[in-house]
Amino acid sequence: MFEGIRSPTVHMPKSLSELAQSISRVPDPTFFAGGTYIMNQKGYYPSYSSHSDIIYLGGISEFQQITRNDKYLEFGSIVTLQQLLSVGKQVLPKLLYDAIEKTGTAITRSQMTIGGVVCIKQHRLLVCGALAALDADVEIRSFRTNKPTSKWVPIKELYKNTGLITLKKQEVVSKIRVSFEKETFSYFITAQNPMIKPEEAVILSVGCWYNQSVINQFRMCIIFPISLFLIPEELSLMMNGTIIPLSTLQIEKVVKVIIEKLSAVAQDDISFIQIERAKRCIEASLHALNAQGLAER
Amino acid sequence: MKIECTIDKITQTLYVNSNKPLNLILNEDITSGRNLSHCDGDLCGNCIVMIDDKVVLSCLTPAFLIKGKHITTFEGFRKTRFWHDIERAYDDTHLHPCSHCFASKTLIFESLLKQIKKTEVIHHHGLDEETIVGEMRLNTCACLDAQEMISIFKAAAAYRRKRRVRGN
Repeated sequence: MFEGIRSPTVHMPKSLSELAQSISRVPDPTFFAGGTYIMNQKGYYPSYSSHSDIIYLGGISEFQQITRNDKYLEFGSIVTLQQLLSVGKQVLPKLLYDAIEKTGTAITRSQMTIGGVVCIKQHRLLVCGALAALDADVEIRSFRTNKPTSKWVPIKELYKNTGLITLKKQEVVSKIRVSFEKETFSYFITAQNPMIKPEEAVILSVGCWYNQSVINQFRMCIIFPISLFLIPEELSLMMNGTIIPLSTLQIEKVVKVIIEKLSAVAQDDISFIQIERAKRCIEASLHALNAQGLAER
Repeated sequence: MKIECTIDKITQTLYVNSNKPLNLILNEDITSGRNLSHCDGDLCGNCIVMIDDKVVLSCLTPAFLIKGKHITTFEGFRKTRFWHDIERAYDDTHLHPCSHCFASKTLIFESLLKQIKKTEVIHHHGLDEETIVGEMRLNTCACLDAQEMISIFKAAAAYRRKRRVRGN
């Protein structure tokens, strides 16, 4: 044990009521799910500053379930990414499956939890973009008052445009759900590793629903891991009703609209290389959409 | 924090900080020849151990999560019969990881060999080459080429399959 370093007290609740008790006792806890991101921080241990008490969520059985009904696939926040992959391609939306598969290796995925990935404070990772493009909902349990409450919110409301999480101190994400309405086209790409070089990485997730070459719904999520989380709503409006294949002019217009939007949102926090990568990723996604549309004719 | 666990089949009682990473515990609190890398967030993949037969990165595992668990380091794994499958594969192919990553790469091979059990044998060895190379990428040491890793895995998988047929 290092001299002068306090060993954080670890609370290991087994149920929601025990969790509520633990939260009421600890003023500023560190919620610990898989712990891969927390433990991976430079200088996490030994450190004289950062050790608030830990509430370990892994023992709560309500957070470990994967359920499905007619409309939704619902999974608890402590489900590991590897467990989610084992649900299979038939059940999991392709976009989410691709995003999880590109996250680390099986060994690291079996340590990472979906809730942990979603709730990292300042760093958005691959799965967040895929969930946002699929318009997933998260259940937030609040323990701020004596009577715990829960509410479902769209995942895009969980983050600010700068990528910061809006979750308050005594709130936890308990479940995540995605619709069974499978996307007709999905595209997922990352440029650079977001864990190793987050200041240069770009993550793009696209979900598109179309019928007989007419786009009904189009959702895109662009992430710069430490500075941007953007779902351009105007793009969704612009693309609805558009016929596939898109013309070169249309593609150029889409790229222009998004780049203008992300420059306005993030301003100085983004690098030139990220803008350039984002442009190419967006173009590539739209060309892939065209290719799929034409192949189906 | 008082933690009781089993490390390489020896029961240990440790007094460590609750958030101390397992690799540092093995380096500093257990007296043995183990020396795991501590890359401090660089994800080098050189600190792999097995917890309850599941391969994990020990730098991402805090002390409070090893309570009551069975930890097997490479030194412990070398005493099991499964090590010989990988050892013979190294010898047959005349390919060895460097001394720096030998322990970790061997344990990643072992985790892959364990996956064959679970998956239906679609390909000859149950796992495609992309998966093998993808998993091996967890260790960033570049001492082995992708093709070399595949050769080692295939040789080890053949020995493991024979062992399973014999039922030991």
